[in-house]
This record gives sequence, structure tokens and C-alpha cells, in this order.
Amino acid sequence: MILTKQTKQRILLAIIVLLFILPAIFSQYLTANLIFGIPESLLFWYGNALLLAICIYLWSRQL
Amino acid sequence: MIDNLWVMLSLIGAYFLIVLGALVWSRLKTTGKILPNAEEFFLASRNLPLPVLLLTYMGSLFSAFTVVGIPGAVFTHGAVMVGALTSGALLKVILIFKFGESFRKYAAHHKLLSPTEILTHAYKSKWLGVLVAILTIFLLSPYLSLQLVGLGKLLQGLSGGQIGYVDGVGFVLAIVAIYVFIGGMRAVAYTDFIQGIAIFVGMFIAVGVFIYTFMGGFENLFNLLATHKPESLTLPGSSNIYTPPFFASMMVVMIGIFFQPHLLSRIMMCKNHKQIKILGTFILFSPFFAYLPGLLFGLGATILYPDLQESNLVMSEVLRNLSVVNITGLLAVSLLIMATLAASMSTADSLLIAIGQVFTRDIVHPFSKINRNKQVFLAKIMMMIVLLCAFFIGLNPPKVMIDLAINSIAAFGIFLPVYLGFQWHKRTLAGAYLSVIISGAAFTYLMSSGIKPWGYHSGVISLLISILIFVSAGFVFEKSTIKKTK
Repeated sequence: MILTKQTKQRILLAIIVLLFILPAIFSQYLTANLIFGIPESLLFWYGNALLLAICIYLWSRQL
Repeated sequence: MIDNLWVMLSLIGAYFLIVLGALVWSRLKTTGKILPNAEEFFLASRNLPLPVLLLTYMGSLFSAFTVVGIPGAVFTHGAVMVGALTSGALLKVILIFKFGESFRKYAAHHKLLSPTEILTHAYKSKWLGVLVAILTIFLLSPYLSLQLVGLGKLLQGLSGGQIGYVDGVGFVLAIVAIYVFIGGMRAVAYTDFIQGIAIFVGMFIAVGVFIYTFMGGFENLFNLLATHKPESLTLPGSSNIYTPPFFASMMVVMIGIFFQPHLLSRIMMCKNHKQIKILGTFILFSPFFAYLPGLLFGLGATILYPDLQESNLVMSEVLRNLSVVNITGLLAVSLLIMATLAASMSTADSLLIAIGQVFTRDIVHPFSKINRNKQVFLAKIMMMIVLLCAFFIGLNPPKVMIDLAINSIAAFGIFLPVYLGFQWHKRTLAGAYLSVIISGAAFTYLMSSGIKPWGYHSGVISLLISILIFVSAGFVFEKSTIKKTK
């Protein structure tokens, strides 16, 4: 199946919302803790926010 | 206490006047005029060099708060504070990528000079523009006043009380007024660029000296934190602040920032789509660098000054200790103080231009077709009035003004649907009016009564209300949708 540009955009946006934003709002865990087991240390916000930033960047490339 | 603060202030004054002189000289050579025209005054003729554009946007976002605010916040709440701020900041970038280009293109195509003018044009209603403009000025003015109060406190703290509000802020305002009246937006952008680099360099050198001199290195800092204050590194933070309502509030504040007119204007100043994309990418990754020194200062301070009662004194203590360590420390502190003071002045300039711009273009211009040169003149008069009012209110700020200023960024969230839906095929004028008025009233009521439904900030609730009303009106008043404007 060939994905259109718009579908790719939507998939990436859904990933951003589901993986990074909703867990951050509705739980006291960040995705970086859950997926990569990054400990709650200085790296915890770098881990989560950097992953989020990379996803947003990839999404913006589709625009 | 910094002994030579007046010398520093004079140097800052000289620096502003030198930059202004250089700009006026170059303007005189290229256009033959000393004073800028309307497009140059409000939007720097939409042709700023890319690095200046990037740093002026970043400067408006981070500036003095990064130096003074972040260390205090980390000291009180732990590293989690920066985590929430960064994640919120990233969401704002989604808006730049997704909507920045449509704003830029629309404004350039219709030769619009103010962000609110986009609404007047897209909704075909002068009165909607007037409503949003009045609310914008109402929300920005206390914010400006609070900037001056903050600046006064910073000067007082650094000089050990020797420089008072009237002397210090009065001196600074004289420079701010001359600078912005003659220089306009281009002058503000150039100083943002220079100060941005100075703050960045100053912060990184200062934090390096701080960590190695007082903490014995990074490893030792984290060992000390893990032993003495582990909660400063973990969720939900030292003061248990990290809760769902807190995170949601942070996001709304960050969304609100996007709709502040001085930041929307900077998006309108981009030349093309490519610049919007570069701006978005730059702003996307900049918090990782911009917040890092403040985070480390705040964490170091939790170990070094465990008994400090007031978090807003953290940075004064750090700077005072650093300035006596060695010559590198002293140089970094001097650079940092000068850059921070200059950044506060630039922020005041940016806010003033935004107020002048919105007042002339959205309140006066639609009803009275005065020429663009007179619009600039009128904007300057308005700016002068607001500046003087802000100065005098800052002498003895009423509590309601402080509350309003602190909450005003979140209040800008109520404009989200009206701005983002400006090209939506189902947008209606009734929906625009109702969403702004009802969500604005809800915000005011919740803020003044102190009610927080389910623990959520008034900004979160009013943002949801405004979206709900705007979208519902698109379906309810389907027959009166506005014809698409190219």
C-alpha cells in the first residue's frame, strides 16, 4: 500500500499525540520512561522531549 | 551586590545607541530617510536576515526569563519544571509548522501589517478586529507593566537597593523610548540577535564556572542531589507539582504565547515558506540548549542554598557568588547581567510595538483612512501613553494587575479557534464573536473567583469553551458561513 503525503502526516501526528502528549497529560509518566526505561533523572525530560521534537520534525518534513 | 551597576547601565545605553546609530546610518544611505515607514516600523519590511529573524523569535520566547525565572522555578519544583516547559514549547512549534505559512502568505498577499488585521480581513468584519485588538491591548499592557516591575526588582537586587525603581527603570525607559521610536522593529530584532548570543555565551560559561567551582563537577552535583534531594530529579517534582492539570496548564500557556501579537508579527516577517520551516526547526530544538544552564543553576542552588526562602533570589545569589570566584566568573556575570537587562528592554520594545501596531492598524485605520506615515506617528503616541501608564502603575502595582499579567499569556489561548480557523470553510462571524466573548468571560470569571474546575487552570477551560463554540457555530449557523478569501 502506498501511503499518501497526507496519510503520513496524520499517522505521525497521531503518534505524537498518543505516545508523547496524552501519557504526559494523563499520567505521571513520560514516554521515555515507559519505552526506553530511561530513569527519572536529569535525562528524563531530555529523553521524552527530544523524542517528541524528532517526531515533530519528521512530521513537519511532510508538510 | 554588583557595585558598578550604573556603569553597566550606561554601557547598555551606549550599546543601544550605537546599534541605533548604525541602523539609522544604513537607512539614510539606502532610503534617504531617518525615520522608518509603516512596513519597516512594524515588520522590518519583511526582509530581515535569517539569523536575525531566528534569534529575535527565540529572544522573544526565552530572553530574561531563561536567566532569572528558570533557576528559581527549578529550585522550588525540581527538574520536572523544565520538562513540562520544554514539552509545552514543542507543541507551540506544531502551530508554527502547521499554520505559520498560511498566516505569512495571507498577510503578505493582502499587505497586512498586524496579526489582528488578518482576522478583520478574513472574517470581513472591522468590529471583530476592534474587539480582538482591545482585548489584546488589555492583556499586553499589564504584562508590559510587570516587565518594568521585574526590571526594577532586578536592578534593586543587583545593586543591593542602591538603584531604586524610579531612577533605574526611568533611565531604562528613556532609552527604550528613543530606541523604538527611531529604530522600529528592525532595531529591536538586531538587539535581540546580539543579546541572544550574549545570554547564550554568558550562561554556558557561567554555569561551567559555577558547577566546577562550587559543586566539584557535574558528576558530584548529581551524586549530591541523589543523596540530599533526590525528589528534585524525579517525578512529580520537589513540590509534587507535576500533575495532569499542571501539565495541561503549561501547554495552554505555551499555546497562548503563539498568539501573542509580537510573536505572530515575527512569523509575518518571514520572507517565504522555507524561512517558516527553518524557524520552526530552530525553535523546535532550541529549548534543549536554552533551558539547560538555568536547569543546572537551579539544581546547584538546591544544594548550595538549602535554606533560601525566596526562589526569585536564587539567581542574584548565584551571580553574587560567581562574580568573586575568578576573572572568568566576573566576566561571565557581567556579560550575563548586561545581556539580561538589555533583553528586558528589548522585550518592552517588542510589546510596545505590538500595542502601537494593533491600536493603529486595527482600531484606528479601519475607520479613518489616514496615510501610513501618520499611522506610525499615531502608534508612537499610543506607545508613549502606554509606556508612561505602565511606568506609573509599576510604582505600586495593584494585585489584580499582577494576577492579570501572570495569567494573560494563558488568556491568549481564547483566540486559538478564531486565528486557526481564519480560512476554515465553515467559519462564521457569529462563531468568532461568541467564542471570543464567552470564553473571555469564562476566563475572567474563573480567574477572579479562583475556581479551578477539576483542578484545571482557567486558561485550559476557556480554551476548550472557545473551540467548542467556534466549531459548533460553524454547523449551527451553516447558512452564514463566510465566503472563502484567497
